[in-house]
Amino acid sequence: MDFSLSEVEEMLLESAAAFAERALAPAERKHEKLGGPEDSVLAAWQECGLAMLAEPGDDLEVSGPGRVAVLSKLASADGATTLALWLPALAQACARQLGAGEAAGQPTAMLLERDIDTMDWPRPCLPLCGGDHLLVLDRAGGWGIAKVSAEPVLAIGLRSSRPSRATFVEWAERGRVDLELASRLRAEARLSSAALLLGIARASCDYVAAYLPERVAFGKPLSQHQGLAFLYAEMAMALAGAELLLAKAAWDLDAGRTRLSVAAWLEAREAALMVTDRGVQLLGGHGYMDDHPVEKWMRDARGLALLFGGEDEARFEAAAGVSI
Amino acid sequence: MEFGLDPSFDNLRQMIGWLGKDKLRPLGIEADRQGHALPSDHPFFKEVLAMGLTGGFVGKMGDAAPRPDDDGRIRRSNRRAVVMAEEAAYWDRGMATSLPGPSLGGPPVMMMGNEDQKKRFLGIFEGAKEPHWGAFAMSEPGAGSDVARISTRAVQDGDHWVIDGEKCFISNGARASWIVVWATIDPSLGRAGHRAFVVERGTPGFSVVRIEKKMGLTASETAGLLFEHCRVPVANMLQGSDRSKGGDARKSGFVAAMKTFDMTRPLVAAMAVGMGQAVYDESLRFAREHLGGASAWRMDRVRDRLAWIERKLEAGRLLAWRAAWLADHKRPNATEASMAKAECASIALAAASVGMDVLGEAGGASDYLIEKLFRDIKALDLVEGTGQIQRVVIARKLIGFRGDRPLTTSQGEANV
Repeated sequence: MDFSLSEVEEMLLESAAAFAERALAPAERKHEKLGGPEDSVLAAWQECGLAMLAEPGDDLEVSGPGRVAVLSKLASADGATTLALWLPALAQACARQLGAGEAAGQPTAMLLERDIDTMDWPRPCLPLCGGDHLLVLDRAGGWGIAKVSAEPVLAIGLRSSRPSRATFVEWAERGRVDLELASRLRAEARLSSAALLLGIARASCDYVAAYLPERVAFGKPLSQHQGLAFLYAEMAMALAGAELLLAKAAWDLDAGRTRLSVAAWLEAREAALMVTDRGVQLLGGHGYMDDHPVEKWMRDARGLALLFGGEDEARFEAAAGVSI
Repeated sequence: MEFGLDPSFDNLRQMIGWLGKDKLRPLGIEADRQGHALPSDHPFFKEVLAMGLTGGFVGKMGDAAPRPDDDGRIRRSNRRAVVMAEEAAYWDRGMATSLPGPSLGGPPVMMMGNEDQKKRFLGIFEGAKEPHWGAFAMSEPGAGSDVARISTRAVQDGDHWVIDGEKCFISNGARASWIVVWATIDPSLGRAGHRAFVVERGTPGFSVVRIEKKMGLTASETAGLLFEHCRVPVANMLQGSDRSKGGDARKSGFVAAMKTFDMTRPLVAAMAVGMGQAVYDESLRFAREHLGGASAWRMDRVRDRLAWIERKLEAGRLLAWRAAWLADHKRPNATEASMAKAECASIALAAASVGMDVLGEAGGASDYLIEKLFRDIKALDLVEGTGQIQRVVIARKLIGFRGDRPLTTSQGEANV
């Protein structure tokens, strides 16, 4: 087991960091207000080529751990806008692997369902990223590309991914694949989601780490108050564990093992919800105001943790993998 | 300890329930969507005044402030206040906080004001036809939890005090007729140098410099205030100028400020329970209306979550009631008030997060109340002493926690 990044992956990570610093971080609030990335950011995203990472077996031979590291790096600058850029690439790459034809339309979002034939419509709040086609993939390998009518929704977070109420119009294409492929694609989606969750959480954790030594109360920096320092230490521990589990799940997936991906998503979800809440808490009243980004990260993480099947679907799959 | 509720509470609670369903909740949602609080001249505020619902209605000044009732009778006003606070916050906590009345400014005026000051500052609320607000200004950009660190200065100049400094996160501060402003008359005295001054709206040198953009509770306006050579008459200093030279923290404004929190923290706890109850009701309603076709696995998980929320809220509610019961019996309640506040705020946020998972994707959409509740509830672990400050209070009282303070100092002084 080796999570170290190759030279190519290190270069990609640097590119991602540069893109994040240049295009994402400075415009985070602006993108949230706009409801999506600016055209110039979309163009820069296309130009930098990072979307290619969504394709399996790409020419760059990027490993699973490398891919999630790049995604987390982007998300640590702005998870919501990263979702807006990444999700269409992921959905379209998955659709191609499922054998969907170009005529079916380009999906910009992805749903992991229990059973495509009994799934609920309409969907109250999905990051449609400006599109009107949705890829659905169920546990048994049933898939479809649904054409939907989209109506904007004010959501708790992820506002730059154009959250929308999606009403079913028609199936543009339906199909069925073997369980192995379905499991792999569902795992890919969950790992992407986990990487975004952990990127957001990393941002919050790092922000707090910089804030605590600066802010003074009761005669010393907050970082010197044991109660607060321990809160931070727990954030760092949970995050580090979840990041490693994600890397291992990605490593496993490269080797064709899917089981750990759902555990990695659940761990990322738990860590991100805890870390981003504490990110607000440790700034006190300041954390609740939009002068600091931590309140946005808490909202974004909470919104993201509801997607890709949510907690119940993931827990079901995790439990199904336990043989008694 | 008996928690039986006076039957007279029911009428008031029903009235709040009616107002809440008809006004507080819809107006709270409207404010949230528009991104700002209702303007102070909104007809709603006159409507509630006409109903006689102000001041103590949400358990602020009228109920929670101590009254000179030394006749030995056991009061029930704090218990009534927590019940009403829960009911009002159930419908909309931001709106409940925005109702006309002296708000957090009431208790210090009641506790430290002389008769003339009580008449001048609290009298405007009695039988008022026009809405008025009071406010309480303690927090500063550089001093939040560590209130002892406030740097706003008050310097006496003849028959005036001259105030210089900045305050932040002040509820109703931009619309208040007067604000209880905490300042130090001598920084070398630490907390013992704190005094409270009532600064009236329109006083030269006093200005509102910003309205905060918050994660939630939009219906409750939060202001940043600036005091530049703001001259306040000596008659506006609470506790009178005769004590202004004292160095005893126990006689200073600091302890009075802390006692304000002993009375208001159970109310914040009750508000958290009310909001948590709203989470529960919304989650249950959603499950009944939308999850009929869900798998047995999912339904079991939903039931488990709802049972968890119910259990936690019941325990939290009793903590809030215990703190209020102690106050009604004039017993010290600082520890119990902090326990209630810290526990209930955490419970309510966890309930909101769990409730969102009950709703699934819908939980993130503002079409459903739970999205707003999640954002609103987060504030409760931050206001009136963060959850961490409550833990300091609790640990200090129960196991003598001293932090890193030298062991030779007096244990009698509050460490908050």
